[in-house]
Amino acid sequence: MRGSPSTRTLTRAVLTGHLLETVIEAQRRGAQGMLKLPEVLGVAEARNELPHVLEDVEKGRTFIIKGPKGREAFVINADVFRRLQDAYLEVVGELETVRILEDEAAVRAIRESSDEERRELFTLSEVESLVGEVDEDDGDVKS
Amino acid sequence: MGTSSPKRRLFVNRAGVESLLELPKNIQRQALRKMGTVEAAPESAGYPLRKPLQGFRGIHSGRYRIIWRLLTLEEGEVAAEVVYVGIRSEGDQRDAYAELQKHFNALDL
Repeated sequence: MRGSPSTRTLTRAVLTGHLLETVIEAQRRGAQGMLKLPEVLGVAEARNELPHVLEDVEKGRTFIIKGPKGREAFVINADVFRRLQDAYLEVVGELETVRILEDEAAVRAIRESSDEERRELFTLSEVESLVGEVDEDDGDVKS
Repeated sequence: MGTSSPKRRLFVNRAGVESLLELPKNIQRQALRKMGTVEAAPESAGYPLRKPLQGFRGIHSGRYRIIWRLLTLEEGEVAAEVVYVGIRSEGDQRDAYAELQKHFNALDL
């Protein structure tokens, strides 16, 4: 289930790179919104300290509010979350690029897409009707 | 006639159609539903692919993936051109998201 050593190394290198960029970017913005290690609070503590917690979240701090039976809330600034999400999607894109390049059928289709003679475009409803035609064949997959 | 057709924001090219029709029927239907998500936001749905596939975007759900690139229509509107729909290979059973999560955990984030 684990990736090959080379894939793992690549993932970690890319991930580290993106995280580093996130931190550098945050520092460039004057530390506001910078991702810091979360502070762990109990529910009662968080409730008592809520105004301060929210003030600190606005400054980029993150908190874990720990409830009973594994119930936990992660409190994070929305802007930091969006940047983390963007970095995450970029890493997913990086991994998927590697995998697509290993998929011969995908590479062939992408290559064919730059061939003008193959650029005939179908709308979604046209494609839906083609899939419908396949349905009527009752089981046979059109090639 | 006098009525204007609704703006289409997704097209599938010939290679894309051929790849779709090679899939099992249930996957074809799932992929068509997913294309609706792409059509709604072709510029932001899924994830951006990197060099040498820069300019393409991908989205996956379960065992298949859709790859498209952006087209600028005459009116300046952006649409998706789907170039490939395919089942991810057996080796891809370890999902990219699950794998990333492991790395995030490994980095104590």
